[in-house]
Amino acid sequence: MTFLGANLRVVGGPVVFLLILVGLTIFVINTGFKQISQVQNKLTESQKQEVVLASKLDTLQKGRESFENFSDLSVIAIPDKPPTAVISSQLKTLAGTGGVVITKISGTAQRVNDSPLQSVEVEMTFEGDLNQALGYVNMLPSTLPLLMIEEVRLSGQESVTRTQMKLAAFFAPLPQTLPAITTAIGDISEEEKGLLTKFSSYSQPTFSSAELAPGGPYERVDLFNF
Amino acid sequence: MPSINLLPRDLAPKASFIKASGAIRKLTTLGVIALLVSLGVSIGLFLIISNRLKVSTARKEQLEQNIKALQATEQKLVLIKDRLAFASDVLARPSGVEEAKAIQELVGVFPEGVGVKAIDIKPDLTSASFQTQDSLVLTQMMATIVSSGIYKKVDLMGINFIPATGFTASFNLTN
Repeated sequence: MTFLGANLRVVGGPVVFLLILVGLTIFVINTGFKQISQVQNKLTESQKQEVVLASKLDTLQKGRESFENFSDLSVIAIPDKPPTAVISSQLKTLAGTGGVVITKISGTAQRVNDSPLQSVEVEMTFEGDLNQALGYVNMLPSTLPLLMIEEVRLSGQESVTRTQMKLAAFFAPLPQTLPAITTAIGDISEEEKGLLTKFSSYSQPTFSSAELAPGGPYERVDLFNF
Repeated sequence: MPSINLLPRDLAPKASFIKASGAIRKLTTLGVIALLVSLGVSIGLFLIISNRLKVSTARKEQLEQNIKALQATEQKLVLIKDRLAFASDVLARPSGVEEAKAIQELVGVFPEGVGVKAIDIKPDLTSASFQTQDSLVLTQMMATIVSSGIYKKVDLMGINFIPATGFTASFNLTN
């Protein structure tokens, strides 16, 4: 026992110190690594967001003018409200250009599935000679708001062709919120530019529903003075 | 004067234990030095990264402010993208646009003496009935429909002859 006690006294102290050191090292490495990796992760995330924000700012600064012009055009193509009045006006204007006489126009609002894109079905009847009728039908796809030809029925009666047509015009509610500020937003793509260029060559309405304002009643100072 | 150890030899620690003890002490000293150095390096690294994070956060805040100042422009860009997504959806739907163009082209190349009785245009299919008084013109008209190459598929659905009105030929045309 005494022999063991003397040997243990010699080795015990340094071994205890070594064990404390090992424990301390494990603690320091564990805590330090966690702290450093947390800050490093935050830095990486912050730098990524910085790149996204810089790119977003660059896009917004460079495209400022073109976005102003194109936003109106895009809303004319797909308005936010049923475009029945605008479509009727467009159809009448184009009928004058195409030399046909409209005898009936009617519009019904209908929903396309659960999509926010809804459509208005427009039914119309017009008369004119065959070439004028076909010419008129072919004018419609190059018109804003966008129209889709669903069915055309032409029936000839000597020089007058009577045409019944079903069209669909579309509308969708405007976006209500902007994406988060750190969300990346790309510039207008080449495909989107192509669409906008095409739309700018289309026949556009002389008024849009957004511009309609009440024409009265106006305030009368003297109620008895008409 | 020489030192005299009066304790019995059995009570003194063994030389191997004394040697091991010395080695452990040296190892502990080296470990402490290594621990202090790594602690210093870790603290330094932590401070450097924290400083970089601070700078990056400041730059980010500045960028966010600049973007907020251009919020109206961002709204317009979001609006354009939103509307064009819907427009692409509309343009991708089946429509009678190509069919309307094709029938106008076909009627434009018909021989003299052919009249249109009825045309029904739907997406992907056109049904048409054409009239003529003359059987020769009827033949020419049918040859024109086939040879014009406007339609990929031409189905003759029927030919009627009524002496008062002449021949009526009905077709299903697919482009």
